[in-house]
Amino acid sequence: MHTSGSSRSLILPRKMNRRSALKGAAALGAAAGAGLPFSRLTFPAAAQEELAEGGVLKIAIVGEPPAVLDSQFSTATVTNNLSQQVFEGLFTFDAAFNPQPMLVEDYEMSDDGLTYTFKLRSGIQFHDGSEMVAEDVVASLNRWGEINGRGKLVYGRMASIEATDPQTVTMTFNEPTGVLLSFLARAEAFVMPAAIAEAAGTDQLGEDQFIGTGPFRFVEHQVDQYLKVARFDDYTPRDEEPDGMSGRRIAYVDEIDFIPVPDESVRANGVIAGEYHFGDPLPPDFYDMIESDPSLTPIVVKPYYWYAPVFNKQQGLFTDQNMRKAVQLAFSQSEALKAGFGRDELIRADPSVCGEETAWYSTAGADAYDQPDPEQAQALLQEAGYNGETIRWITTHEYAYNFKIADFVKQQLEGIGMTVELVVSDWATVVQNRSDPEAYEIFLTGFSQYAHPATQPFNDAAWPGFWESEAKDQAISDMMAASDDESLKSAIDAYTETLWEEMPLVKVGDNFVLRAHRNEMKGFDNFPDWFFWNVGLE
Amino acid sequence: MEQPACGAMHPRAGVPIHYSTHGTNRHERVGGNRVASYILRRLIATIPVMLLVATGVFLLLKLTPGDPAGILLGPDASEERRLELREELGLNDSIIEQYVTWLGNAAKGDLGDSIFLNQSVTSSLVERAEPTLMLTFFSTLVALVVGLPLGIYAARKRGSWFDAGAMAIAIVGISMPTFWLGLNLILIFAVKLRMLPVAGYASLSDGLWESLRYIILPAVTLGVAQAALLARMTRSMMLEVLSSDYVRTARAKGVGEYRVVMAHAFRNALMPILNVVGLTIAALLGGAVVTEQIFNIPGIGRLLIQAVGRRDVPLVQGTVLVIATVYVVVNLVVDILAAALDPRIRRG
Repeated sequence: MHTSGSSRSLILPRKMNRRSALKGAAALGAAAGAGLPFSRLTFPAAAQEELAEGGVLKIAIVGEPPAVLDSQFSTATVTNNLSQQVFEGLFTFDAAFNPQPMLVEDYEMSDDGLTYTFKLRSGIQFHDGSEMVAEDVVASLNRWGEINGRGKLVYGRMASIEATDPQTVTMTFNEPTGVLLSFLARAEAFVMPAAIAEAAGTDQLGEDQFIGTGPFRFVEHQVDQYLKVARFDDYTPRDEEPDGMSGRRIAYVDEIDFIPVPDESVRANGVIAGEYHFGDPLPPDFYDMIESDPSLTPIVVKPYYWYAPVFNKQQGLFTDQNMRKAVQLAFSQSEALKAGFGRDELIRADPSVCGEETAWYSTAGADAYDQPDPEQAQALLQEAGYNGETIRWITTHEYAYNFKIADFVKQQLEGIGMTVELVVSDWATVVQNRSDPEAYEIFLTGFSQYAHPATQPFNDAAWPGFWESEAKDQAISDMMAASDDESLKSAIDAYTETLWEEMPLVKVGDNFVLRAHRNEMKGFDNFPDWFFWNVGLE
Repeated sequence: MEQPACGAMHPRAGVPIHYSTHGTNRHERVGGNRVASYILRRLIATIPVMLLVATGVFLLLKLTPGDPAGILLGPDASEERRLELREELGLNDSIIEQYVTWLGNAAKGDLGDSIFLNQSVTSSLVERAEPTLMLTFFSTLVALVVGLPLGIYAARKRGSWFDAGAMAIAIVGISMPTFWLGLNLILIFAVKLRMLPVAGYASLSDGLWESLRYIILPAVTLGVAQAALLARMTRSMMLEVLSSDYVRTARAKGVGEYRVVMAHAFRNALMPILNVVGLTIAALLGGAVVTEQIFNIPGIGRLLIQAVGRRDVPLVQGTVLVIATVYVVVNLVVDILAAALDPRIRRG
């Protein structure tokens, strides 16, 4: 079976400079020509088109962002996306999800893989006019290491971080941490002035503390009405061609109004009627209407999320691996995916934890994916000593797919003699109950397809589902340490094999979100975490 | 002459005497004092009501599963961080401890801070007041302008095609789900005709016309059902009053039909209508959840429903408390208006 999906680099070259970045961009262009699975791939457009300056972009977003722009505090997607318009970190991702320098000019890793030295770009200004120096980076990352899950993982391995001079930050680790750059490339590892980072501590940033280095600066926030950002005139863009979120960033529009529109039909109608230039996410039912409208461009975001029923492995029936495998063999994953999400354009039956668009794609050990075998499932049930006990599956109608998949799988499980009770409540109740091992046997949720596999929440043995596994811990440790392509690929394959062997959850498949923008909006790059630099209005 | 159902008749024109309210005498001063003491009693009585409401909501929310810390931190947050934040937010304190703290602060006028919005509950409510007041005002206006004339004219033309047609339309208006009507109005007037915005809200400070453009569709959406209810109610009350003795007497004395209907019958039918309008206004001030959601209006209703979903207990508590107060005050105002209209109430 195919075990690795990409020939792209898994690890950034040890020393990065402009020439290698440009080479990367050229390679990406070639990949795009070869048919990378982005829908209506647009990222070269910004480089080729002359975009007009000025205008106000109106963007309909899913709702009020938790913690507004503070993505160190909240991991909500909408917060993450808004945050990166205003804040920047040392690194960011290119279109293939490789980390690329952002606020870093150059960096070096020691031969033993324990010390990283980051040379910062000079003359970078914060939105308050002060110049970014190494102390700001150290203070910001210290806060990240204190309040953010991924930050904690990095800081757990770190011996020291210091500003060795105003333009240099040095990090020393107790063990090799090759994953560092991928973690630093996430929006949450952003840099703010040291005084703000220290004053905020573990609290959310206040609105007077949204001071970043990004191409847009925070202007105003009216809860539930809008969040305004405006072009930062003193922004110094990088020289490299745009590539994903990396490279040159230019704010063409004067202002962006992000408008929370919780009702998805209203979001879609608003884009169709011309009130918003962009809406995300939109209901799949609107796909045909948007596609047939010449003033709109529908966007299918690949990769996005994958979905899986997660077993309670701390107590009850599913502490037995045979029971978990029986469930996986009892139903067709692709049919369950179709039942949950409907449209073929928005789904993909695939067993990998990370999308095939990323460098972390792997299907190692996933031979059983979408190969239903009810007879073998029944044999496994017998081996596990299952005797018709009721399986409580906690689900919700709040997200239609959640109930639809649960209902579909329930019927298949009943077909092999299992007794399943769907316990339906609102999502907040499901979230609360899934932390209680007494309360359920199965719940279903979604996971990012473009996050580093080491950062999947279900890896944490304290996270609902409670997956404890030495093999998994070892594979994650190897992934965190890996500092070359080969060792990272080997660790990811080992991790994926463990996942399919121990079956802490059953991956159903991928679901892609639908977005749309009006055609007067030019230069938009279809990336899972949307951004609006290099975007202009006609 | 037979005594009219609603009070003594003016000896000359058949006008019920309780509308003659000008001039003061000792009797009215005593009545005024009674009204003042009645208002005071009613206000005092609101305290235990609100305490009960606040306690009930607090317990209900605390007994419902759901963790605001988890919702605030997002899906990728670690379990360790979630537990830390729960501690920081005081969510691990005992229910009694949390309740006593909240109650103590509320008694001092401090409704606390919203967990999710990172701002005080009072500020959150103040920000939402204008959209909700605007929506209430204009939907009530739609209801009154459409419902009252329709009801009066249908009663006047009882049994006619107009009467049957108006009441059939009223039934449709009452039965139509708000979300269905709202979405269709959006589709027709915003998406197809592009006459009005799809959704959102413009403050009065953005200009009256700009504000009106945004409020027209939601006001009509809400106003239609109210207008239908009001039309049926008005028709029914008018039919009752129009068949009363003093109306017959007025007609016998040669009073013009317009004056009979408007000055005699309608004013006497007004009392129950006033009650219905009052209750509707109170309900709307408490937030028209569905309409605010469909039209993306940042009002009290949307605030409350989102706060419940996020288990933002201080915000739900504060909002419910304010809504309960609005109900009490609006009811009180309705009673005072009723007293002004009806001497039997005014005189105790």
